[in-house]
Amino acid sequence: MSVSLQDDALIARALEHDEDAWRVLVDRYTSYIYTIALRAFGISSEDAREVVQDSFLRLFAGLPGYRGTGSFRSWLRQIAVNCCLAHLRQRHSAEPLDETVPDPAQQESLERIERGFVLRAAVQNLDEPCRVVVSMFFFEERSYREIAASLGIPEGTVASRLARCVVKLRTAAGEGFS
Amino acid sequence: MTHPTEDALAAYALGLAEGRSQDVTEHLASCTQCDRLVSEYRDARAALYDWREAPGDVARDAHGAIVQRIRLHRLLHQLFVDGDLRRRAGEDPARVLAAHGIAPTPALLAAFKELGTADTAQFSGELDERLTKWRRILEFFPGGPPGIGN
Repeated sequence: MSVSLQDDALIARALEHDEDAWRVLVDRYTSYIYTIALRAFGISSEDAREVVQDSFLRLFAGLPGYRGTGSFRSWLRQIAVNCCLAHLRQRHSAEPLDETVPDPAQQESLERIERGFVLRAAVQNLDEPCRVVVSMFFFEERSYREIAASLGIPEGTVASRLARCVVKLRTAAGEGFS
Repeated sequence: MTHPTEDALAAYALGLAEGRSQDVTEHLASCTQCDRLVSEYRDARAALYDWREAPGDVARDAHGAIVQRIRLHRLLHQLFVDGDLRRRAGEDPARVLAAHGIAPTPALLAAFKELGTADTAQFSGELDERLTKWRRILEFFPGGPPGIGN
């Protein structure tokens, strides 16, 4: 199944219990939910795995009720946020948390993650040299020196390539960049 | 006014323009257009730094759990209409589950045994009744069938 299928087409197939459609949906959104758990709610990487699985199981149970009135990602984000909050309430059961909605700092982080999702997708559309250097620098958090050694290029070239590639990324992301 | 190149502004925003940062800083003080662009690049940098790629097995495990649900739904559909399959599920639930690619948990085995040995008349009822039974089975499954708002 093509990974370029739009969400609406995937959802239609997912509703028919198409396992391949679910694979594409899960691949597309796992890091999104994982990042929400880790960065917006400070959940550990081990527990974030559970949050991802719980979120997709809730999605599976709730998908027949999805009306398509808003964006699918917004809907999925609400499911993920609910799972994160439920997880935190469960983890802090000795000291109950009242929160049922994200606090302002979490909300700000969620907005940054929305932008990250768009940029992450745009990175995939860059040419290979750019995709590699941007991924190494941002997602793998590798230093210039490590990137230079890995690619066999001078450190100065890493810096100039990164700058050039981020400019390309702005074009690739379009309105999602700002 | 001569503007720095966009590459130079991006490098500045990313903290890559060590040698030229003073020039850019001075330019930004008097150019709102470039200053706004640098802000956009800084916001993008923050978003990219925040992003975390999940290890590959996270997606694999999540997809595996969904697939188990899908197969269970298919099997339950068949059980409602196929008396012979229900009988076999009652006699040897592990075999029936395995034949449908479903991992046999103890709770699921017990539920299928009960379902498989139930009176046929129990399965000719209204849709609500079927769904209630179905839901009860799913409650034995990891993750349960919670609503979205739970």
